[in-house]
Amino acid sequence: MIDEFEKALDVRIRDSIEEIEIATPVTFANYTGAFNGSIYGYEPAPWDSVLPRLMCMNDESYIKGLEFAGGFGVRCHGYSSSLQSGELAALLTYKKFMEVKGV
Amino acid sequence: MSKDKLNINIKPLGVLDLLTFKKLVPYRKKKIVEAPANPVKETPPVNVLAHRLHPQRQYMTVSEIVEETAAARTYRLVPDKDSETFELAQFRPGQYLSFSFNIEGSTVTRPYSISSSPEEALKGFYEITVKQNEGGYVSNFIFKNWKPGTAVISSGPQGYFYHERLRDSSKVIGIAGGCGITPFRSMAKSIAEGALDISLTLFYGSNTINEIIFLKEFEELERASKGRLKVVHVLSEEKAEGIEYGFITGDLIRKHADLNGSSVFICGPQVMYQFLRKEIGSLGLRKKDVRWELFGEIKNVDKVTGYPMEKADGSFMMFVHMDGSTQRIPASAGESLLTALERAGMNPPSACRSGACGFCRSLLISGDVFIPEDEDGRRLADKKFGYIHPCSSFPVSDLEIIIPRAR
Repeated sequence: MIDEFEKALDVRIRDSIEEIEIATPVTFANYTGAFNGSIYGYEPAPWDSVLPRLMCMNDESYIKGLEFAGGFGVRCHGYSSSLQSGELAALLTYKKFMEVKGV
Repeated sequence: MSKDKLNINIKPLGVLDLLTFKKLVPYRKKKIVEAPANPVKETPPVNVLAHRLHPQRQYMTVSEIVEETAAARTYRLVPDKDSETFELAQFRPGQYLSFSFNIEGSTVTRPYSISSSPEEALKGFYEITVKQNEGGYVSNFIFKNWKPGTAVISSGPQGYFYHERLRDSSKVIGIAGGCGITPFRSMAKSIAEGALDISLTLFYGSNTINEIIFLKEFEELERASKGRLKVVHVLSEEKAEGIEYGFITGDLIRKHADLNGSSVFICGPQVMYQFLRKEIGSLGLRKKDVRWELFGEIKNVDKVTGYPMEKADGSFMMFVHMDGSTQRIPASAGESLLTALERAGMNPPSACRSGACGFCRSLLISGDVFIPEDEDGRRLADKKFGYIHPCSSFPVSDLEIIIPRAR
């Protein structure tokens, strides 16, 4: 990666590296405990992918007020899905909160 | 251009596709009903590997003790299979282990560099070399209590004092003082074993010839390394034939080593660092070329530049929130917050005890602390939002802190 960067930009950065650490899925598994170190979720089977999960979302809510966010949630894997599932969980929480309040 | 040439075949949405959509929900429900209700007990392979490489705890027993000098001993440690440690985690030469001790009702930790090589860990043992210091709380405990068969607990390997080929030169100058020789023994062994591909010129400062740790062993390692290891002993309190006399100065380093294009690794006591910072500064090296190993908690904090002297004899109270409970404990000006916590019988997380690793990172709610600049390893965001490392923070007023979790 360093070689490619130097070649693409025609600059030398190797001599200026003050600190460098290499992270792998093992590193993420160590720090987060995430399944196989994949912090943004794993690739789901077709029957368990984003569409069926979203379509079953209301049927599969077993504890009132509990929503899931992250790459293992209803929007499945990936960085942007993890972000959006957080937004979704927040909106659902807010909606249910307002319902309880009778607003 | 005809459609044939482009070779594009667009099918209209068929009835079958719509049926597939319609079947998604019942198919999912069927799969869930069919799935066995057994919990998944197997740990995923990457998590298994992470646990092997970075165990939180390693349970070991002392298998052998070697008297290196009158005040230094090497302890060989092997896995304690009765406590479910079956192998020792791999490490890079120069890393350390944080050991836990229960002394007079307090749980305390101390970091010790691994003085054996990674190859030897594969064979089933680590070695650490401990120097007994006058008034040394933990070193005296080890000397008195660790015998063959003693059970000990450590962390996994920690620290960043190792050669990294993407960052460091393959030409390394090592500077060690006293027990700071231990990580260099690991590197030297690894060089002699052919695993670490660097050349090392090692300057080792001791007071007298009898206090040189690993004197004979380094002679053998020099021979085994075929010219890639050179050791320059320096004595400060006596003269001896063939050995340099005085301190490790910039001139002495220039005399024995080629500074051009070298990386410098330094490990030794606090007092040596104070001297070396000036000497190294005169060598014109870049920041990235000099690595200072952590030396543990600062002693005599009142001698550190910037310390508020009017607080030096102060005794303060500390409100500590940890694990859902609050305690009120005393804290003396001359001791780190971590020491005060351990003295009070609390068990906060810690590893490097030098302000760097962040294991003890806590939130200061109120009050003031003094943090020596050399041991302030906090991120900028942590400084802004009031986080501190209790191992490198000294109280200068009553204070209140939140420690995220017990160890």
